[in-house]
Amino acid sequence: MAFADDLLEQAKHLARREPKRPRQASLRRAVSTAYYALFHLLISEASSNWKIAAQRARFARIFEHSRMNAASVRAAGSSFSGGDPAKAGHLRNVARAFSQLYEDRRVADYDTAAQWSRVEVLTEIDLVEQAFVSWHAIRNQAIANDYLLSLFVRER
Amino acid sequence: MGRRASEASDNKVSVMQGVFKGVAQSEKLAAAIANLELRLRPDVVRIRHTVGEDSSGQPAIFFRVLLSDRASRPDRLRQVTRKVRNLVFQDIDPVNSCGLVPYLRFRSQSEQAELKEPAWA
Repeated sequence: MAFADDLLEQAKHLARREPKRPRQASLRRAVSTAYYALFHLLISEASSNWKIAAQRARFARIFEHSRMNAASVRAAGSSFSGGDPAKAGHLRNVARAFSQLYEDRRVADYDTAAQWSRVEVLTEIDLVEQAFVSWHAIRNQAIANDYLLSLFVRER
Repeated sequence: MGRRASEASDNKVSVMQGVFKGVAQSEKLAAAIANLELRLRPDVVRIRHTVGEDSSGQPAIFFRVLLSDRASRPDRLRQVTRKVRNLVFQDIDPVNSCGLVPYLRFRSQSEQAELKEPAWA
């Protein structure tokens, strides 16, 4: 199983770890882990397009969270006019999930006053699961490759 | 009226127009959310929202959707939250209608009864 899939499975485990009274630590780590599942899925997909296999791990280090988020916010609000609406819908699912989880991961990791509930966390994880499904539906399409490029190329 | 006074007056008009546009936009947004809340009953108990900035400093709208306990059951949660998200993105479309990046969080009624967070009340 790929690293991203393992992280998604770990997020689900953390979200359900205490059946009666979930600990805030488990819920926060679940949100953070779900974010990283999507983050690593996209990085691994972008890196796999790099021709020289020995350089892929170094290539993966060029990605920045904030730039990936800015690209995702743009994609989430785009109409992709003229393109296939189904493919555009899948890409928007991925981009919206990234944008939501980017924001919520910061809250989960750094805002100690924020309280999380299990339903909140399960819906975040579901969003990432849905993004995985959508990504696999379009991963070989031009629209997906353009998005991957936008995740690390500075907008001019 | 001198040029400076005229510019100041123009600026005042433009600021006031911005305020009116903002108020009109926020009223329109609140009406759209109230309408959505009605359409989503009884699964959705209420939708609260806050307009502000996200962690990147972008204008954003934060939705807090309180679900009924029935809608929060494992066999229904996915279907209900997907429906809410789709309607928010299609009908309200905060990015293209108001320039706001949307964020949605969901909580069940019994969870809120325990956590008692005013922002969700």
